[in-house]
Amino acid sequence: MINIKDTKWIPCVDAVLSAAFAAAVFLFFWLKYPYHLIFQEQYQIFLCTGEFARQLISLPGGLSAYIGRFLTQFFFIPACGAAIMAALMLAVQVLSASLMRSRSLLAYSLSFVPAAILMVFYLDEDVLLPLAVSEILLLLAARIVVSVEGDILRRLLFVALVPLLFFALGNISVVFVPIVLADEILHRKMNVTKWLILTLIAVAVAVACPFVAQYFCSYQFKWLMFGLHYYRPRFATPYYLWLSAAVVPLILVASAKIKMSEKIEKYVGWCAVAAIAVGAVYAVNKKAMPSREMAMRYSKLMYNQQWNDIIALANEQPPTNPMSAICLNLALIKTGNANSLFYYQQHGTQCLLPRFTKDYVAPLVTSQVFYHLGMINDAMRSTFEAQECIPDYQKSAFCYKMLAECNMIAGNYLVAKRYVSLLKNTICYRKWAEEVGQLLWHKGASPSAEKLLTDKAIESHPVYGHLRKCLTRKENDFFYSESETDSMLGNVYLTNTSNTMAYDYMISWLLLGKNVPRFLEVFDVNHDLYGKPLPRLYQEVIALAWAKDHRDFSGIPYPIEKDIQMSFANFMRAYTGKAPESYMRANFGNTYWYYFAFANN
Amino acid sequence: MKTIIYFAVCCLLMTSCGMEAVKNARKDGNFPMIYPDYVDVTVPAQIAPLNFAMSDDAASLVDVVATGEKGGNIHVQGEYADFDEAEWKELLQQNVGSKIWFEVSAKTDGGWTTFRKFSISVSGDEIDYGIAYRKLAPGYEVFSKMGIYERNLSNFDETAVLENTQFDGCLNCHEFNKCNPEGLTMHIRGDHSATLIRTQGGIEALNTKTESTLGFCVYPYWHPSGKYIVYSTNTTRQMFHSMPEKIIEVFDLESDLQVYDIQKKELVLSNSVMLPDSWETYPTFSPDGKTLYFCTVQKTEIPEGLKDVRYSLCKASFNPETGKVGEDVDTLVSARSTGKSITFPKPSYDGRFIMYIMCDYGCFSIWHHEADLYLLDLKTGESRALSSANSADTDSYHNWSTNSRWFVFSSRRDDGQFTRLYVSHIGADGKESKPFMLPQKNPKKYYAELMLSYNVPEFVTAPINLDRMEAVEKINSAERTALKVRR
Repeated sequence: MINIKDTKWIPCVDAVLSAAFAAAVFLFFWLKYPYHLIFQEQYQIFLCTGEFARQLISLPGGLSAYIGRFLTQFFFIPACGAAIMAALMLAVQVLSASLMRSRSLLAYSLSFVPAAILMVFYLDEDVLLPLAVSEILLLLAARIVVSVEGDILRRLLFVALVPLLFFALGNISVVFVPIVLADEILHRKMNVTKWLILTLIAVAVAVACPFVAQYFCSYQFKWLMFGLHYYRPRFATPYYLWLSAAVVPLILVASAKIKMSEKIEKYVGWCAVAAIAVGAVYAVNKKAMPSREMAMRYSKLMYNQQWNDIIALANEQPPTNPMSAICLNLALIKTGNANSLFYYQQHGTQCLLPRFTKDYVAPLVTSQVFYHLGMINDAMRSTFEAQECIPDYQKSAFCYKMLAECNMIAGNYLVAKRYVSLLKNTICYRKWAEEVGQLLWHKGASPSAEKLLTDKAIESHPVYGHLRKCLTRKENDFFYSESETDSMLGNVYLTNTSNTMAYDYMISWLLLGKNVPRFLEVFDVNHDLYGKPLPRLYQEVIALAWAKDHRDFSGIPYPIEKDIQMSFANFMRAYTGKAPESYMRANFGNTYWYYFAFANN
Repeated sequence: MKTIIYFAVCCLLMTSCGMEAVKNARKDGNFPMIYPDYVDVTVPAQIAPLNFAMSDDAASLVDVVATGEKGGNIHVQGEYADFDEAEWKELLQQNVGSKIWFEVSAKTDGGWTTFRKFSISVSGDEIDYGIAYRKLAPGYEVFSKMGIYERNLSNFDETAVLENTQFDGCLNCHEFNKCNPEGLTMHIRGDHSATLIRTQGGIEALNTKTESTLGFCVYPYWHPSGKYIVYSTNTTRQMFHSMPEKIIEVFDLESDLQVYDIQKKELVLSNSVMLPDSWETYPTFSPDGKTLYFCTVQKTEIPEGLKDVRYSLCKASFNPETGKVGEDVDTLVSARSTGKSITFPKPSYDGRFIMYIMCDYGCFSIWHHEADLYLLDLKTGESRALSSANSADTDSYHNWSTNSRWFVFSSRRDDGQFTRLYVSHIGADGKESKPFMLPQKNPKKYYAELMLSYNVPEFVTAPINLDRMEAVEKINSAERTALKVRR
């Protein structure tokens, strides 16, 4: 049994605490927050080329951006991403601890504060990995500087490193200055006057760095002041993200100044450990966004084309936002369950094909719908726009992959080759690029022969071949129009009548838009398509339409089953009797009638 | 030990500096397939080295011997032909008015192959200092990072003139006064919209939107006196095709022309270029400043009539004293006779030619695969396609060098999507040469990795030297010079 009063056990306790912290971070990101990590990976690219490195590293903060993006590319494997997050948080904690001269449990417990704060920041998907990398590297630099014994050498190194760290790590590196200054005054017993002079010099150099940088680097000054690579939204300067690094000099001072007896310190130390752990758990609970994690999970399952998994997920945890509903509806229609659309809560046509918005998330989700519908030009446009909307000007390997596929299907092989060649320079997409490269490159063939060979390869591909058949022909060309979505979907269906998905989308669009008269027109023309008996959904819609002008179902030209007729009568009785919505939802929530009467479009 | 180290160093030096002998080479009677295709192009003596690589990836080594007809010789070998800048310059200078012959051998798994020799002609006509252009992703409505850049044509240096990383907006429609960067206009779109004008008086941010005009100033052209800039003002929209052969259609719902009087800060409006039943766009001045050229078409319903929108090339007189456009409009090239639509007319600075684009319909030839360059001889009135410069894909936005012997244009011939810049020589007789792609240090790698398009290329006679900090300050401030309107 460990006697915590015995100081020789302190290193062991330290190691156990650090390991427990790292394990907690790992388990949280692996089990509770994996889709946030995958999301991060989707909106960046890391190329193993000299030019990519040169362009990135030449910017202030470029070195940490380079390392950060290198690590982020592995986030597509959740366990790997979680391990990276755990390693980074652990590095922050261990380096913070290593800067403290005091070896007490209380001091060690304080070293968890910066890492815990940083961990909480990473619950926001817009906080990027270079922030953590910068913090680690600045702590490492501080650790190296304070360990130099020669006073002059140490102080010269300190001042020299200020601009270097700015250019390598971005402006969060200013925290390096108070950390070293704190060490100088607390542990090196530096003369106060000399300390003030050193402070003046270091602060002047630190302040000058972004001012000088703006002349060489064409980025907005306030963005340079904050750091270009820490936070996704362009020009945003959430300085609170510096807090994790900024508390390091404070805990150094605190650990040096708080003096108490060994016995008291032990108890206070354990109390501090408990308080920090409780505080961290509370903050994580408070800041975590499970609804976003769920939306990201839905979209990831959609990108992976795990249609049955989406439906299974919806049965457990129904979509709570339009993006998730889009994924579910695509899954339902892809699996031939278009008639089950109203078993789930729907909120209008935006849950099917949303209007274009200038952001980097929604158009990428929509692009998948276009892709599976065979609307390849629109899939390409949505993907391209999503990529252009990435706020920090990054490009996305995921988007390039999608663009390559769209161009292959559309027959733009030279453009597809360009994207595929680029992806061959990545680590995580290289295998895919080499596989599809076999469709595009045919060694020894002339350009015209290569085109024919590629045509053949694409046409016989199980996915690309099918989608190529759905491409709009020249004579059927139409302009994309958000106000005529049903007509567009109709055109897509008419291009290739085996594309029943387009038909289902058109019908679903009319139903979600509550356009029952138009549905009936389309249904009248195509009712042979539906088989017998009619799907329950269509019987419900026809019953609703019929009831508008008739008192009962006698003479109705379509077979409406008795139980549906009775159910509709019950619905109407309750509805006209002004039954509360909760009653209506409980009894008719999965019917089209309920959607028609109560859902907001 | 020392001997071993010495031997190793010698081996290293030999492998890094030495050239492999082209032995037992198979002769191929065809020209080599190189990227960029520099076979039989004409270049100015100031141009940066025309480095190139074999088009396909089969060659592990390429060996090139460049020999001038008037003397001089360069021999390079490597993954691609990488000429030393100083040696290249010397070879070109030695062979002005003559040819340089290139013997290319490529080494593949099957050994060496030596191809039929090809030549490039070195013209005695000088080219301007550089080219300015915009680089951006060839997208739709949204834009990420973009900027206006300048490229020194005698080396590979590219510098950013202004990038949108310092303000939230899009940069477009830049234009210099006869390639002189001292006179510069460019437009910023977005929250900080402004028309920036740099004259000798400094940089000014204008609000060119007035109650009497359609909207902001769009396509500009400087009057040779530097006193005026003619702009079109356009209500532009875009739509997206569903068939894979086409992507985007950009068109105007309204457009007029207006002349900006720089000294008086007035927009001078003339009825003849603001007709209620027609659209006028892409204005340019003749080199003597007395004629205004522009494209015009009768209004029609859009999108129904889009494919019937065919612009004609017209001219009207211009009074440099008043800034007014004359009442009479003459047609130079009629859409009725060509059955095509004309865009981007650009008169040569010697006043002899007008180069323009023709496409099947519409005003935005940049997204039309059939768009080609045409040349109107103002002396004879004859028009012809620049077939040596044109390609099977989009050949579009172009500009002249100050001596009217070179023109630069953008083309999608590389892959159908990403535009690249090409430069072509044009003789006094109006005969154009095969164009050469803008040289790069390692062009095959550079262009393969560049996921951006070039557009609006224009020659510049000197470095642009825009005070970026001042320009950004003007853009980010809310202060805009409002314009008066004079009819």
